[in-house]
Amino acid sequence: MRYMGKKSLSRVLQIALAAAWYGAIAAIAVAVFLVVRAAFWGGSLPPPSGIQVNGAGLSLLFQGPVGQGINRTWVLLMLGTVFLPAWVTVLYVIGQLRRIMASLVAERPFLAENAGRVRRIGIAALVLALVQWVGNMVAGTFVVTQISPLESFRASGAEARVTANPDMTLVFFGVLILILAEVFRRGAQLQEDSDLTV
Amino acid sequence: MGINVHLDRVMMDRRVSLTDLAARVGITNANLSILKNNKAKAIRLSTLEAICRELQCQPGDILEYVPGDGSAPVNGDGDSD
Repeated sequence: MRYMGKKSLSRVLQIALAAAWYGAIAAIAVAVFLVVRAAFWGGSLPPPSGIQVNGAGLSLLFQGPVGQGINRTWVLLMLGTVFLPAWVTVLYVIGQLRRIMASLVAERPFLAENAGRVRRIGIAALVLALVQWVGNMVAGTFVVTQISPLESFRASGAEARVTANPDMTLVFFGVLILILAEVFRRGAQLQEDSDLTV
Repeated sequence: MGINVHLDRVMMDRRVSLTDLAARVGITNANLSILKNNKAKAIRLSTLEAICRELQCQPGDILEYVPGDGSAPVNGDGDSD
């Protein structure tokens, strides 16, 4: 299996990342539309039929009308502090990965530019961990303040509590990627020395 | 850089073109151009040997050391004062 070059795994990933790029742009466009709608068109969103929370291999589903409607402030808060920053960061990472894949398809992995791109991906991973942490707190506060007081929720016997811990896996991989960026930088130096040796 | 390359001067004296010399030495035009324009970071001894063989010259005819801090070079008889 070839990993670099025109007919390689890098080329397959390059195509997949291009699709992901446009998908992320579409997701951001939808989020911006929802923010504008919530901020300027007034009113509240119709109540969903239930809430589902997924995490750490566990899925909790609460079925039942969630109050009279979700206040637009909560929508703005969740979109502005979680959804938009996360998707913008993901879009940025996809953009950096696309450029890295292009250099792999050209069979020139050790470029100084790639070292910078890997470093920026590492920083983005740490930013995503922070965004996720804030998002968990916002979402948890929403559930505790808006959902748990509902009669139907209390009647189900469920209890909602906010525990917001940062995703240490994402933090670990962010730091690891920063270390790999230094490896790429050394590789770029060696590549330049090799290119300029006659 | 502390090493100046005078390959273009020797090539002109011997009336040898870049393309011709590159083919005889066995390196690409691009690499020889990098050397001629003082952009090279290193030169293999095998390449230097081939250039000197084709141009009938010594390495000192092509390479010159220039101190970077402007201090005077050491005399050949060992006196440094």
